[in-house]
Amino acid sequence: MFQLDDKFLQELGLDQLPADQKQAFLEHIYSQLELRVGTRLSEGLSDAQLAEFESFVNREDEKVRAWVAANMPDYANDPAYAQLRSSAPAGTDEGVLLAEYASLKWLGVNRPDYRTVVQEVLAELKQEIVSNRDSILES
Amino acid sequence: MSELAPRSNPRLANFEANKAKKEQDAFEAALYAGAGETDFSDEAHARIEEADAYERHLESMADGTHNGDLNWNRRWSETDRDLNNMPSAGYTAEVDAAHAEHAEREAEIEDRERTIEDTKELRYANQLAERIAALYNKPVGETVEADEEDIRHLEDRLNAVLMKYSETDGADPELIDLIIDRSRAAVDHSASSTPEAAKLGRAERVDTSLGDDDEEDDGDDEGGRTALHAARRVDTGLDDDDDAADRARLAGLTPVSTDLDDDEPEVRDGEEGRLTKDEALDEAYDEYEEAEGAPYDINKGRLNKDEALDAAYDEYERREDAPYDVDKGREKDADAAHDMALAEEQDRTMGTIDDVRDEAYDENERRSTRLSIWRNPGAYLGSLFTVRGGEALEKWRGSRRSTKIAIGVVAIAAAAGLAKLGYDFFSDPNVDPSNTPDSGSGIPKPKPQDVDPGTLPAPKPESFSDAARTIDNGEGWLNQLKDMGFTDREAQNALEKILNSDDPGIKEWTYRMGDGNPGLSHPGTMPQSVLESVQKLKS
Repeated sequence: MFQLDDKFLQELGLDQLPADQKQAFLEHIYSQLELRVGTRLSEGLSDAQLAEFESFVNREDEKVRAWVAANMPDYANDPAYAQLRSSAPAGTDEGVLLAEYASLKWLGVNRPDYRTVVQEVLAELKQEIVSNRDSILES
Repeated sequence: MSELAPRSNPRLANFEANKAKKEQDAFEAALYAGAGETDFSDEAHARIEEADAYERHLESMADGTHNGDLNWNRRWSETDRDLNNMPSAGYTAEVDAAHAEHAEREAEIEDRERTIEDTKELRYANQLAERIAALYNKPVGETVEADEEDIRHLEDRLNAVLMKYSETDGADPELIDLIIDRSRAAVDHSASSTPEAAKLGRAERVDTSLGDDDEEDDGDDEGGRTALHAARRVDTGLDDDDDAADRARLAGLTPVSTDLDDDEPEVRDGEEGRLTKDEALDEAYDEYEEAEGAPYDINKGRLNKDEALDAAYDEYERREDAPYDVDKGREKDADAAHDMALAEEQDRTMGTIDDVRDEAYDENERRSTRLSIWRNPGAYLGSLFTVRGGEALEKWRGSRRSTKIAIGVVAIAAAAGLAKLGYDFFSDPNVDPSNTPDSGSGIPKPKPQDVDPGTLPAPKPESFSDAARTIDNGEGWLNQLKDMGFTDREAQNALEKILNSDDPGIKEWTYRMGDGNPGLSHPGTMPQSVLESVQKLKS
């Protein structure tokens, strides 16, 4: 994996960017990464599957619990759930926790290749950046 | 020839004296009538006493010894007039100074408005603020759920545009504050204390008294009577006082045209005016967003946004110039009055301002957090929950495109964060990854070595108190440093470092105050990364 920081820009030959543009550029890359990864992962998924994920985003408690009950019935003993819970701020509502857990698990169930997609999209982005490095530095 | 002997004519000789006596007699007759000469009633006695006091008052004015309640009159006659009965030099200087101050303040206001008008982000933000305010200020009876949705939508846009402006060279935080203020909400005229606000309230009452609105004007209906509502009727209040426009200008508000039209609905329902403008603005932002979300092209990527925004503004101005002129004056009147009301509401609606600002700062924090996951994946897991819980997903509600982005957010969090922790969160015994669908790209199953072991384990984030994390409105850096455990000496040493820091996080939270010391630029929750950067200044 990589670090999205000065070293990353250095790797792309963009360490000469003005300091005030570096952060904005990194943010732009990240926004593109989010959009492209999400778009790529959404390909091949049905509307029903996407609606399922949306229900987690929208915290539709009933649907979240139904999905968890159907797919991860023993979630309470799942170390992953424990890990997530320990990472959440104190007092986090269980419904919120469960929605996040469900969204992560949903991704693993529906798109287990997510890590590769992230890497692939990132590699594409890096390639585009490198091939347009001069234009970026001149702008 | 006989010569006329000189003789005296008492009428001629005593002309002035007789005239004075006649005037005195007439004055006394008017003042006393027959009291004390022909009328000896109690009323006559009281009249004499009252008249005598008045005479003494006039005498004291004449000899310059008067210090009573009509002192303003003496001041004018003795101080403000010179020997030629013209305004004195002192008085003239005082008036000139007042005019100069007035002109100076007007120039400042005009300069500020010109800056807004000449800066595309500010101009757009200002328009958005006006639209937000108009929605906020709808009377309760006219407000629908869709308005609340619109407000949230517009506020998101406003935040984005102001964020963009804040990143430009020479961005003026005061203008950002001004525009945020202009987006503020409802007006409680009963709490108004200045003439402008009182005037708005009066205009409203006058209108109500005419009975064209069934709503009760109890002055405390919390939005039932609102700024825009009042603004539509403010012609009654403003027209009878020309000073109102000047006072509005002095208060930092948009100049008011007095050419009002009674056709109120057009202010709001000018289909060819406001709606056209709003449509143009909406399209502007859509183009802006579309450019941002379009397939990434480095050549165009960053240029596209600006190009789209420029084109959108051009389009907006083109439309504004066309069907909109006829309503301009009237709308400006309404908006100016609206602004006056908003200015009066500053204290009462601070909660609303803070809400708007907080949203902007939450967005800042979210953006900062997104980057920090690469440095600290463990912290990012927690960031999924942030202040409101699940904020990372909360942000992306509402559309299929948003859903895709949300999937991207979760995937990146998992790939970058959890993998770095060395924990395979998705190793589900019920799922065989080799048999699961993929995007058809033939992507090989990720190997363990995809994870860079050099980044493990993630550093444990330093712990800070809630007081240190939370920046209250008006809180300063000195207090913040103490919340973070700095001693007085350490805090004093750190202040200079903060002021000169190149750390983007620290710079974002800092501005130089008038006394040269660093100030905290805004309230909100200070991100972990910034707290850690500040903590390093302790040494």
